[in-house]
Amino acid sequence: MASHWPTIGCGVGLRTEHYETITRDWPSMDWFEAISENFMDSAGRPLHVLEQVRQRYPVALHGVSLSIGSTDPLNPSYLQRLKALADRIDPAIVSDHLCWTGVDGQNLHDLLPLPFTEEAVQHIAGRVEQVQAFLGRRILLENVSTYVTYRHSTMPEWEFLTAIAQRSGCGILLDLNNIYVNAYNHQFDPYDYLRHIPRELVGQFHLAGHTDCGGYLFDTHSAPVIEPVWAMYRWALQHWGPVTTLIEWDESIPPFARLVEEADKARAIYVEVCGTDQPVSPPLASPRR
Amino acid sequence: MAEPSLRDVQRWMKTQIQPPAGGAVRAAQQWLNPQRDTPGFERLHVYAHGYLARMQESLAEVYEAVHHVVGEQAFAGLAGAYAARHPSHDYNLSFAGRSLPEFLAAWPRTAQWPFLPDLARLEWGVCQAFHAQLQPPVDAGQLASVAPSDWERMRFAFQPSVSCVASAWPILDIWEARQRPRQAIDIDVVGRPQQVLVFREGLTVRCELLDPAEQRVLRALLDGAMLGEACAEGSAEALSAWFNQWTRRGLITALHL
Ligand SMILES: [Fe+2]
Repeated sequence: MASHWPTIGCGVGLRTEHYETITRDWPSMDWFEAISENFMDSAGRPLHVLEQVRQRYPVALHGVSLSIGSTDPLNPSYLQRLKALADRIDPAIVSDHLCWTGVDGQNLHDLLPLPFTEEAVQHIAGRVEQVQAFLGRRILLENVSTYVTYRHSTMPEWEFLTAIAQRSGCGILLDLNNIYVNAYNHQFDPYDYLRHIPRELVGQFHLAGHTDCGGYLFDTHSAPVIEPVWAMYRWALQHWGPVTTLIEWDESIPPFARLVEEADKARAIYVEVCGTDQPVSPPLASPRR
Repeated sequence: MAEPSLRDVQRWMKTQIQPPAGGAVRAAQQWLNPQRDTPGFERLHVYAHGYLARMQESLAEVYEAVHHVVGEQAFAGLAGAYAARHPSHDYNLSFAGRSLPEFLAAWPRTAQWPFLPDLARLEWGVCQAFHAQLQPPVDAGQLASVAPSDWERMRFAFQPSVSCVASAWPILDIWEARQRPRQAIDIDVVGRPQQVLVFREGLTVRCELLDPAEQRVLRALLDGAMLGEACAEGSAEALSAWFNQWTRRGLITALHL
């Protein structure tokens, strides 16, 4: 089944460490993902770089502070700033995480785990609808890595994620590494997860590396993607067809050329499995000038 | 046992993450599944530790010179104490360190480096300047067109990137040494007060020394004083030289009468 979401190929995150290289070389890259908060509260160099990047590549805005699962009210000033940034950048995708980041007005600056309950599904689906109405666009929510699970959860994570997407009309940003990490930490089969995700909900993939902390895996984004996660990527493309893909690397950030290698590896699999040499869908194929 | 509500869960989790984290809430501990052989609540340390690590990393990014002066170990202690005293109310982690200058004034180890609060104020100003939305500046002509009789009661608006810090210590010298190896830094800190102007030119943040009188006038104007009040001191020549400098750099964005 065709995706409702744009396919813009295999991209990488736009990180401060690479601003100089990118704005000097304008390297060949399908697209860039920008962390919304790094640009929505800044009118200095970061925004200037993002605007230059946007003139040449598709961009997705990926947030970390929406706190869609919090029981605090949605933050109107956050939403206004996000909307202003989205209106300015015209991103191909706007996404955030299926988690909560704070409560009682305090921010814990982390992607915190939710209990998988009907109460949470209802609460969050309603809030996603509000956010999408305010932004005037659909968003993607990403599954997060977790280190604890709740006894009173009544459904598996994939059912929770799917229910929220189906009820709210948002899409899923499926982080394959996060599935792998959670499968290890909470002892389930990652392919069970994949098999239960309806293809039409999936708007993007994240691929990243993690760290083995002995007893549990920790989602550090500090290393190359591991083979079992590449295998999951291959499986997902075989079963679902082309999906926009991002390589995440946020700690111990390597030179840009190393990231390009990792994105090239993803693109090679994408092209091989999907039988296309055009990872980018036609409307976005030529960079805006 | 009754199922906890989503709000119950979040409030409890917050007490386990926001330092000083912990406190035995035995019933709540039962809300988490064991993780392999580990009780679930023990895994919460991943989040508690992550909070401190992120706070420390973000503070070190904004307060690069403070970090450099006190060193890794003392800075970790500082970040932990700060995080316990100042829960973050900002969704943007970059702004969670806004109260560090005041916190440093009361930090016991500041006795060893008495310039730390001023240095931190300078660095917070640099951070604000970096992100500020610059406004169109007034031009010299606009200033010249004001009738001399109105000068006294004129007030000015400055770029949001502008700040100034007056210190009894050579904070600009210390700030400029933040990327040099510690053993290569030899700054005489006694009896060398510095007044520093922070502003942004295009995309570049600049820090420059100010004359003490210029600093006092600028400070008063930034605080909203009328020109007549701000310029109790300073000759007319000095004043016009300062204004020329400020307008040439585009620091003034509006005149109010
Ligand atoms: Fe991710």
